[in-house]
Amino acid sequence: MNPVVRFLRGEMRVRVTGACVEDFLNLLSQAEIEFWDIERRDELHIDLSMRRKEKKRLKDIAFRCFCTAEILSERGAALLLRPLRRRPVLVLGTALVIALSFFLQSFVWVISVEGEGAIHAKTILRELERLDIRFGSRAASIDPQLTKMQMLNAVPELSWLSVKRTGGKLTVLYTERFPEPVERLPYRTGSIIAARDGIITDYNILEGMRLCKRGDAVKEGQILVSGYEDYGLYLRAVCAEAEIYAQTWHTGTVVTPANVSEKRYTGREWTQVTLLLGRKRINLCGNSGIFTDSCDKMITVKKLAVAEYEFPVSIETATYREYECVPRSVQEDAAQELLNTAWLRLVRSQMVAGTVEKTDGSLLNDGGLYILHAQSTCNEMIARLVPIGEPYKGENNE
Amino acid sequence: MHRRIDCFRQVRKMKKDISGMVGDKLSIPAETLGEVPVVLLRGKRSVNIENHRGITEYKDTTVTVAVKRGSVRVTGNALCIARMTRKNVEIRGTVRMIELE
Repeated sequence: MNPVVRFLRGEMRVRVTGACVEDFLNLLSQAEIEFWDIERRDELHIDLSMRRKEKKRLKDIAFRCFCTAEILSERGAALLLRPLRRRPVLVLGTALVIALSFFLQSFVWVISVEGEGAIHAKTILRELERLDIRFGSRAASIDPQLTKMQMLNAVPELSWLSVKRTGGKLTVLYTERFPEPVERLPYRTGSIIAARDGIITDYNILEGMRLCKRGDAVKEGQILVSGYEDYGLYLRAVCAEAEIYAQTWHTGTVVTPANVSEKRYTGREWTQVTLLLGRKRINLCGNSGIFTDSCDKMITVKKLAVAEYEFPVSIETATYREYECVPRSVQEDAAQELLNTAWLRLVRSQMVAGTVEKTDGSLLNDGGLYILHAQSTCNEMIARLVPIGEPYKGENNE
Repeated sequence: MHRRIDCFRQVRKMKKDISGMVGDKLSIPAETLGEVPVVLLRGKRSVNIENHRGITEYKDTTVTVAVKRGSVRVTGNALCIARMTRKNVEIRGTVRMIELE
């Protein structure tokens, strides 16, 4: 018999002493009492194992064949649990915990989103919520295959998704769809034109027929490299490819107010502690009616986790720092530096590639504003590809 | 009284004769019809005796099991009864000899 079954049913080791222990064994077998591991000690003694519940019949049989039976040891699940009779609350509590653990596993308590790519986990969680999969959802109502299909339809950026439930934890794994890199040129035939007025300083032509040279002054929209290659007897239409640098000039105006409001902390601070239970927020301490318009808020969240498993319980500590806005006049030097930096940033944002070589400007203080009129000389890449036959529409980056 | 006992004995004998005859005619194994002992030896390590009638001797070197019309004596070393039920007894140890007496 399986030792585990024996233990669960309870067994005892018995020593039988008598002149004729064979009779004792025969009577036991006739009474259909199960026994095993019979070990002969000497002429008068044998040890054997049997079920605990046969204790009373054992004494009777031993008496009938003039033997004595002595119980050496007893073991079994019932003996192990006997001390618990005095602690009913512990037994009830344990049973309740076991029942609760089974019951709670039928709900989703944690949703773990793992994946590669730029898709934010919150996007996945939002879509899952639309499918009624959220904190506290019934696990039985979640069909992984159906959820996968619905999610792939709802979020086109996903290429693969898997939903797996382990107890109360739902693990969502996903992979983002990466667009195939475009290796071919956007047009079959096209010419290179100038994106800005300038003087050609350098060029590097890979395809097409060059129509300019170094030192040439070109105008915006002028064809620099033609998409038609002239071979004397025939023309071949290609998609021109080139990098052309030219000296260009950028002119513009940037403005900043002469008086600004500066944030100054008053030194007053408040702390608000909130217990987050799933989607519920319970304010533990701190005034929930703090006037937050003139306060900076800093939030620290501590999640309850065991190893890598995060529970849906966390403590959020929000620290509010009060400030007041104090008007301050901006110094001219500071305004000049600020506007110069802004201007350079603007110019660089308008260039595909290249450098700003020189910047001149004049600063004015007019009507509470600092105005910088600036002009920059740049060496920038002005080549732009347009399809043959289409006029250049310009760049909308002014 | 004696007459009645004789009558019972005759009926019992007739029953056994009929069951033996039917068994022979239908080629039914004898152990399924009556209490014919069956001794099953598994290598040298274990002997299983079915349809026994009790143990008459139990020592380390000898175990004698009563069967219908005789006994089976198992001789060997470190013999022990591993399991025993009403119909079946299993003896383990190093078996040297089995005798049917």
